[in-house]
Amino acid sequence: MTDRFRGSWLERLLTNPLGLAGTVILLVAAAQVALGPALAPYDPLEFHPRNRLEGPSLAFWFGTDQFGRDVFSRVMVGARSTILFGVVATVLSTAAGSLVGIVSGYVGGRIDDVIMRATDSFMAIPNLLLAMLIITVLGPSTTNAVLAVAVSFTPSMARIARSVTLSVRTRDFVHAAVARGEGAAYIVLREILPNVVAPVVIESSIRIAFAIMIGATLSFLGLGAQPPASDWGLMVSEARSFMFRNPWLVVWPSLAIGSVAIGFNLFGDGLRDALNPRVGR
Amino acid sequence: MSSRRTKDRLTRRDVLYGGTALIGAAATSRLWRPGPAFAAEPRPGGTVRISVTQQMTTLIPFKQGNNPEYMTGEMMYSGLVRVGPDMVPRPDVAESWSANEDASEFVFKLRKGVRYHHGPEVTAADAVASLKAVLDPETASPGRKNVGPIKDIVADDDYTVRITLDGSFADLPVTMGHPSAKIVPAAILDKGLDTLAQGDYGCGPFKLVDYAPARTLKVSRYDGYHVPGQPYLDGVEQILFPDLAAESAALLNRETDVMLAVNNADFERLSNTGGVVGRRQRTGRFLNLVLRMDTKPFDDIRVRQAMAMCLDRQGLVDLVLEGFGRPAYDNPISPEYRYYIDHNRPSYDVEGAKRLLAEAGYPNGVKVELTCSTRPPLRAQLGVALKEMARAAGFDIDVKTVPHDYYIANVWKKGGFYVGSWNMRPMEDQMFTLLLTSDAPWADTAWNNATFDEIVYKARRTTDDDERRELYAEAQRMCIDEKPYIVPFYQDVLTAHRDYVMDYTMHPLQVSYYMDRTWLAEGAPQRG
Repeated sequence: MTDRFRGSWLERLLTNPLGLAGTVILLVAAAQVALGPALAPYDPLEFHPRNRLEGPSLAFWFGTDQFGRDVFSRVMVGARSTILFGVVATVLSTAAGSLVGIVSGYVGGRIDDVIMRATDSFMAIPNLLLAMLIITVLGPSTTNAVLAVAVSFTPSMARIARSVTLSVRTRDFVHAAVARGEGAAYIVLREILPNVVAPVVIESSIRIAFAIMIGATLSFLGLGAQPPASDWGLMVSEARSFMFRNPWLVVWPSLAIGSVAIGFNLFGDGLRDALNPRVGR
Repeated sequence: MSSRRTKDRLTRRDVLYGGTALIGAAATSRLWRPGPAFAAEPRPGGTVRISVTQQMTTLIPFKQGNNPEYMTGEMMYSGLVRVGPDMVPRPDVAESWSANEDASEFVFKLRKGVRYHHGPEVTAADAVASLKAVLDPETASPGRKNVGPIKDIVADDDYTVRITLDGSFADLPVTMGHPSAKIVPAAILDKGLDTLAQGDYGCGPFKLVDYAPARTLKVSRYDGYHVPGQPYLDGVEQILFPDLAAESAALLNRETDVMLAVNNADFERLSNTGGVVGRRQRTGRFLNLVLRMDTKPFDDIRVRQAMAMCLDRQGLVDLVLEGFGRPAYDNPISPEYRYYIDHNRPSYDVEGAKRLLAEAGYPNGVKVELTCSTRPPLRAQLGVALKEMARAAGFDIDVKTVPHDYYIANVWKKGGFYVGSWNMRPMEDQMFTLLLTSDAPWADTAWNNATFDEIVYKARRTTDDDERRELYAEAQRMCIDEKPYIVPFYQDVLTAHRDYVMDYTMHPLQVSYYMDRTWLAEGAPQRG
């Protein structure tokens, strides 16, 4: 184990201070996702009308909101919907984007042109606007918001997968496979895909941060998670009216969103350095 | 009833509303600081800046429908009458009016010498053409169904307007005060309605100076206004603030002088700030739960009753309105109306609600989806509170929030269970015929009750006050007992202004602001 660890990408990630910080933040977030509901001291939806809009106290660590709901419990429980939102949306867009990009890059010609012009036109629309457009058509719900973010991220993932495919396609081992008479499916899956994985994984780890923020923004605008869900973006949005009565209501979910986004960014940066030692800092 | 010159004698209504006003004043709380009503002589001059959160969409007075638009319409234009905060119609361009014996025909006498900002005199022909434009379906005026059952309008001479009604309708002078029933020149109307969107053709207290859509609207004093000495202000600026936090900060910094509407959560903080006066007005405004009566599960009266029984209404006032309101018991008519009755309050009884649900065939509870528009945010807050309260009785409510445009297009008048939001109306008839009779333009519960329709239309034709009172009482009893709507509370309207703003009027209908009577005391910032 130690031998395998030494010199591996994992060692390079964990010895890089920023990469280590990102990893730690993500581990905490992962624990929140896995154990959040179990660790929450109260039911996140339970009203405590006598304790409305209180600041942090021993009974309510992060204070209470306008219905007297415990904000700490809501932040703990909210991790699941907020973080999983980003992860699922990114995984979907990565899968779809890689498929489209590899096919486009490998087949080339007219098909490549059509696909790339299509991604160009999608990328001309900012992610958030595109996601809002899709949700407006499909109707607001968490599922539709995940789909919308996945669709809006797919073109850029496709571009990355395609550019790697283009550079790999002309390499000797691909020519060798063609000469052996392998089918297109074999070449794409066994020869090209493994080379595409590293850059795509790095890109997605950073993308997750954006997906979480867009998800939170959509919830903030009323287009994502629906009340009374404990979702960080939605919590900020609902707390806005009470900002002056109890500023803590805005602070905690915002801090949670910010730290997770930073965590994914640091982790993604560290991962890039670890997987691509040649890319200088 | 033959003459309704309200100026000359004290009507029953004067006493009624005067009385409520006194009780209101006696109940003045720490938060309820009315403007100095016995202030000194008004001081002319100065410009008032008013912040608004809703966007003006049109300058055409017939089409105006939101509060900043009502304020603008009232500043630029005049109508035949104006309905005061006490719901009493008072002369505006019409100096007097009278009705025939059965209130089926009214004659309005116009003031002589009232002139438009661009010069010509206001004539009866203008009033006739304007009212006809309001009634024209092409105009799509929100006032079309609100100005009364008008059959015909003619100008007897230059200063006499004769309105013939479809049957008796004693409240015509009140409905003539509808904010969209403004007078514009007939000659301008001949050029097409859109001409009004491009300029100022009013005879109101203020002239249009500048209108930058989605930003500001500026008006200045009209020296030829028909009320001598008024308006007191040199000008008024209306500034759009899409962000509530920025809006209240502007008032605190003295960048603005009046906030047209204050968020419930922010009211206490603003009122407790030195130099700011927070004001609170009781109204019949409410949020309602629309229970569609032709779809499951609310087609069963027992399910509607069960829903009504699991609401802790005072709790909702505290949780959703921050205490700025009063509990209601499913009556769309509030105590501010003339013929309000208190009838059959549903008790707060979760076990009883559970039993009713079981009787209706839902022994294991029922799952329903409640749609709430995001505007105003109170709708979703009511939804969340309701979900929690109704859970104990077996209602599993799935709250869904949707953007307001989506709500208007796809949910309103179509959905089975959603949160509505309604302003107070000047009288019972408008509330009933807008929302609840079978032919009501905004009917959204599929109630379609012929008996109710008959009572409402009979009340409209009845001129005898006691008989009318009994008819409206019966209509209210039907609303409360059959529950097409659940009305959990009446909301207060909140506003705030700097302490140097004098005689700024709060109107329960939120359609009238009397900027022509507002003035600035010493200490107001000097603005060019």
